Amino acid sequence: MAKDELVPEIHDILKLTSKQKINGNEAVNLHSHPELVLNFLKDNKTWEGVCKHHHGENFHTFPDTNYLFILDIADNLAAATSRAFRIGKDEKYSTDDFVFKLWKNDVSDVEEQRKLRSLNLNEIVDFVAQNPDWEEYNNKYGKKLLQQAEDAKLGNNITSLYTHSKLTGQFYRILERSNFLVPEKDLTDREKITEIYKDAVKNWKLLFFNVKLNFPQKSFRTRDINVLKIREKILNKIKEKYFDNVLFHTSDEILMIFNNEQILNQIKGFIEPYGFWLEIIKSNPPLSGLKSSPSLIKGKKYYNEYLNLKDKILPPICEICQMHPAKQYDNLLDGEKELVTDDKSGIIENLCESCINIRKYGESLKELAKWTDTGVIWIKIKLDLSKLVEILEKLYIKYLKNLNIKNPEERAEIRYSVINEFQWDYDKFLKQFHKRLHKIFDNENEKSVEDVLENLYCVKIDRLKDIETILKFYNSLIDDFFPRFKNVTESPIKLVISESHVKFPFFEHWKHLNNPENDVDIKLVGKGVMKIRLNQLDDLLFLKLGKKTALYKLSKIAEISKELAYMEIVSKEGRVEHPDLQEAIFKKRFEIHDILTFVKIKGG
Amino acid sequence: MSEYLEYSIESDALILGERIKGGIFRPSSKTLRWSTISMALRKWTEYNNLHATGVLTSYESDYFIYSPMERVSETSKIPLQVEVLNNIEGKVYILKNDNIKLPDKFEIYLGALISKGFGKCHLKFINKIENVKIKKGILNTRIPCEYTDIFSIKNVIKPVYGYLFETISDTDGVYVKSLFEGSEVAGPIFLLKGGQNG
Repeated sequence: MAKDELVPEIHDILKLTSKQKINGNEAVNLHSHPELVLNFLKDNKTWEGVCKHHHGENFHTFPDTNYLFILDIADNLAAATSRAFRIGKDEKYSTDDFVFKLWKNDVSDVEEQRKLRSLNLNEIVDFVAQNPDWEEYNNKYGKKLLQQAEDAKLGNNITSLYTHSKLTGQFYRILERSNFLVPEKDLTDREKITEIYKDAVKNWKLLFFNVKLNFPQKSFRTRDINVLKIREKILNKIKEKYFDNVLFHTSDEILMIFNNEQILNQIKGFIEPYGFWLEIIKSNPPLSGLKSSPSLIKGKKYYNEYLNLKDKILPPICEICQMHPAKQYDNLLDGEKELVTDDKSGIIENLCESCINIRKYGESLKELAKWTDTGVIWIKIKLDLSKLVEILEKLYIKYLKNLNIKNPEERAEIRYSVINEFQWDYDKFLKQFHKRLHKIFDNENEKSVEDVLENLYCVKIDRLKDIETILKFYNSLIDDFFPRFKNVTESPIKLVISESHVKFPFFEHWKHLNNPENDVDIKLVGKGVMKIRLNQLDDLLFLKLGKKTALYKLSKIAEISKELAYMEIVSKEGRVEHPDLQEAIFKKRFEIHDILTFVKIKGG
Repeated sequence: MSEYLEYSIESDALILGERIKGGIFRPSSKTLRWSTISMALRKWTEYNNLHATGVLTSYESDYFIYSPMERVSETSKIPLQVEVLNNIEGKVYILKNDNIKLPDKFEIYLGALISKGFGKCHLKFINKIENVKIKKGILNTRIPCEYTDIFSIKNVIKPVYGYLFETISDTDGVYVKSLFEGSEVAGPIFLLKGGQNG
């Protein structure tokens, strides 16, 4: 970006200053009175953006160029709450400058009139005068931006200035590239601009996609698990190439806004060499109809997109993906022949072009490849995006109700700014999980954790009890980052663990890892399952299981018959030997098979 | 409009093996694929234009380990772990065809390791379905794309594709593009998830 261009991310910098007296007048919030400082900098587009990005009737300045008009729209698109339901319009309100994180904070954390705005006006003016870019702004004031709410009014304070600034920049550039233009000659008075604005947000449309990258490969060997690495690489490529267009992402799906469909063709180009397929939700809303997900928008389309599938395939079919004809051995290149030939047995595998391409990626899971005779657990942390929106909305309603704000159900719309804010904490949570997992299981001489993805690990374990250790630190991380998810019926974040001997095929684990049936879903292959809600995890971890001998006896009985084990717990003797287990089943509503699996974990 | 013969199917133990890369573990399909049930019934009736598909309504999953022996050298290979479905209950839907006369009760063998005692199934006639109720939902079986009409699939909303093997002679066959379970379709309620009792 050229030094003298408008930097949209900086538009709200005046929110970082406290009330100021200008020319001896009463101290005011300068963000609401930019006319008082407009002339402090001349010929500076970013400063113009700071002072002229509102067209509301309370402002004495307004956007009078195309770029400023687009900034005005981008600012509203990136707001935590929609203009229509903004708290504070014709009603009393209080403020707290700190961000209220729906997934973390309780209303008791709110401190009315708490202030964070500490910057001096001269410092801000001097800073903007140097034509800084977003990176420089972030480096200097990023910490403050992350702490301070974009809108301090209680009920609106659910996203940070950081997220809002970043998103405003993204929307600004999307709109700019879309060539949405208004005649500048019409941007001369507020009334006219208000009409043009209403017209623009009603008629300007964008394409809003949710794209999930799926793969058909049933990976058996470690080198075929590369399929996950490749998908991660493709997602990273999309995130880097379309930085402004990506609003949210997980390890397999991505939420994007575009002005044309070409992006989909490009993504198809990325996945085609590997035989992946796409699950797409597409909508084409006007700017005023943008919601947190395309699935919530009227007229959305759901479809799956497969590439180059034949109606009939003559054998041999590819042994890994079973979606394409296997390449004839004689037609393979020299390097490819080695990839399909087993070193030890000399058996030649029938693979298609896509699966050979995946093998070409090389052996990336070095630790896993070394483990030959040991127990392992696969751990996946899965985020359900649509559940996240649903749960955040419920938590938002609760927050508004606690503040005695009218019509909370109508107002509690979760916008992408909140989702984007959540991403920040979710990424930090994943990093912490990664750090603790390595700290606990790795030592100087031996690595026991294989990082597959940022949310998928394979861990070599000595005993089933290691799973309890993971449950404990997962629980404490949830308390640190997302404690409110313990107060809802279903958590959008799932912990899935699948345990087996290392030789057990990955694709069988994958089916379980990818489709959790509860918030904490554990499968001990051939030994049992445990599927509990997140709000049961505290109870489970604090459960007293009684004497070791009685427990051992119980786990042995459970191996023969679950029904007998159940009878053992609920019998008269059970009242003496397993009082806590009786309480867990009758009072805390644990299922018997969950308890029995946990008994195995504790005793293993 | 197609008509179907609805049969209940019960078995103590079935191995409906998924095709997978030569590993030591063979998972079982959790549905009655068109290819499994149609090919078995074609063999039983000796009628090659029979079409049937099915769904499993309940089963338990277990593992069976065996080691196939090479007869020449009389040595066993690496043991294979096979997923077995036990105590299976399900439904089979056979496209009604005047050329086929099926008894009310009969037995067929499905799946793998029949020589080891797996695969015996009891079929019992329940009902003739004349007016097929069509609903939007998630498909609970696997049907070749070219036969979706036969099975009254009116609209494929979100397909999940895969390939089924269709035998064309005793020694030959071809893989045909098929709709797999998980596809979103407008189709007969009895082929949809949760639709067997509807």
